[in-house]
Amino acid sequence: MINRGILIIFALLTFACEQDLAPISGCTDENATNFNPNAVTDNSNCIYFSTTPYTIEIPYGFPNMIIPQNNPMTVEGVNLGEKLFNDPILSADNSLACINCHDKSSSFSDPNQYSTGIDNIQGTRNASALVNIGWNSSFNWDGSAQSLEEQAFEPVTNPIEMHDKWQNVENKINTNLEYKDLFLKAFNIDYIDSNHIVMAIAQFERTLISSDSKFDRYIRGEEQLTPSELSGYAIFNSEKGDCFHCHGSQMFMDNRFHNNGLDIEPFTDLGLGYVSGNSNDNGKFRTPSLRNIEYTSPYMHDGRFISLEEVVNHYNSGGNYSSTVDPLMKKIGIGLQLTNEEKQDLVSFLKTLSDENFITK
Amino acid sequence: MDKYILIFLCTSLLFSCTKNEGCTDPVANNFDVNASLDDGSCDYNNYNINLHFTQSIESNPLIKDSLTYLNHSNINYSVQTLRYIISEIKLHKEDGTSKLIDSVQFINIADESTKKVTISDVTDLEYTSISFTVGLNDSYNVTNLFLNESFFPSFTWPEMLGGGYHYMQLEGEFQADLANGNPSFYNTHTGPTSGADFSFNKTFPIELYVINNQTDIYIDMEITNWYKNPELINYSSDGIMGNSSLQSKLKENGENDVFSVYSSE
Repeated sequence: MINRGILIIFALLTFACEQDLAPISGCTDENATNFNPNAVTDNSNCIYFSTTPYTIEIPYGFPNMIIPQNNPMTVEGVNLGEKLFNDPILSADNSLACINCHDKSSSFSDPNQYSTGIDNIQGTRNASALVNIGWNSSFNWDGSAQSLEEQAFEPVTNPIEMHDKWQNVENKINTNLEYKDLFLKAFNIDYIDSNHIVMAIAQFERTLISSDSKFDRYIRGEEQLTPSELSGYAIFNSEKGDCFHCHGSQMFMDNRFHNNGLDIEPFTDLGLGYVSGNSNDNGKFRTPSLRNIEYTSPYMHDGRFISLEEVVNHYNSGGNYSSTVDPLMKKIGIGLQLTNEEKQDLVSFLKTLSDENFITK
Repeated sequence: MDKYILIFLCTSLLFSCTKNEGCTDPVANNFDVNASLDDGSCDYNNYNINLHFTQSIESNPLIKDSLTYLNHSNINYSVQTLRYIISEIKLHKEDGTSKLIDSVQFINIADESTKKVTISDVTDLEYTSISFTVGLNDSYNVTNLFLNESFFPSFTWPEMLGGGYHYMQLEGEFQADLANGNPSFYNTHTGPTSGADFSFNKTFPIELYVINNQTDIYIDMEITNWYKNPELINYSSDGIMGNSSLQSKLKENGENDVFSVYSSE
């Protein structure tokens, strides 16, 4: 108010002194995004920075989503993030976007065992599904990133992925008028830096929420499960199958790392041990959510299993002993000893976690 | 608005003429015996109570992941995972009054920050006993009640097995002959099997020693005693979350001599 008063007085003074010059007309409010310091008369066309808050609806049985204070969810940020996620501009030769290895129809995972980067080089791990990852406390199979923002920095510069340089990406995006406008509206910035690029992508990723599977409808009392699915549900939640200790709750994951007996030592991929440097963590990987598991083949950190039947067979045979194998794999070498029918029931139940709207809408 | 302020001031004046203002709380440093109206000036000593959760085997501090311990049947065993909930931690005075100092404490031996909690809003130390619940009693142990606690989702106890949360996850290896083959795994998971309440309360006398306004209380778990005294329990690779009879035996042993409390001198 006082500022405006001073401006008006200033304007009047200027006007009074330079009557012979035509007054510059523009926005005279310095809080506006188009404030013109040279303007002396306000043209009533001030534009103010404002965003529309994006509200995350927390599904039944889920905790609150922890959103970084410096990156609040906005409709503008989410839409911008989705555009970036789908845009190959992030890769050095403009050929590869996030979506290419995180395919929507595969619940944002790669149906190929290993993803192929712009230089035709393959990695050694299967690209993770992006489903309900706003509730993850760490990212990547080995937990190497602690936030979605941090995670999004990595593939852009990874030589076997997008193989770009952030300065180059910034240069490309800053010469794109559409992005200039979208970043101004989402973050009120003139120069687009890498921080804001990953912030937008992270906002979009937090909206990838799946909670409308057949199982959810069953929990809500809207749909019945078949006898086979119910039998699988019971095996899943008993210590016979003992799936729930790692894939428990409505999230179907535990935000922890385990060695589930895939390999004997020495491990070819140290997983968490590579990140923590602690040999007790060797061979441990993040528990993936089982939501949409039907769509996210192949399975395990290295995509070694094509079908859910193979995954169930792994647990049914008990897996391999190693010094870091999880004590929850308590029937190591013996296995769950499920009958063929029980194994089929378990797979039927896992398929009730499929949310078709999530991969099609 | 001004009218109300005026009325309030007049009322205050009126009162000040008829009653002595001061600190009316006998516990405060500046308790005024002549005061009949508390003026909010009470000054308290604040003490910090440090609650430590410790874990022992045969009275020695637990060494994690060490397959060198022997149970009552001379089976070698280790402890790899130990997570548990202590709830409703209360301090009691001789006059029967008590103070809740921690409603739910989740302890994970792999995370040092969960093994100590400091309670700072304690204004006097005339407490003579401490009580707590091992696990969560029925009123707390409800599915989805603790969605935002650090023990969610890993402590979830499936609805089909009774619902709510585990009380304890004690896991490790066991092996009769270390020279022969690979060890097996045990999962001693306690909780509300079939919806029954297997939590239990313990009360211990305490004497609090104060140094620099700090006092320490140690709540120790003697791990070995879960498996003996009076019920002998052997290690097994079978899950026990659906086994009411074993849950009942573990409760009995737990109530007997698994927990002890001591304070520092």
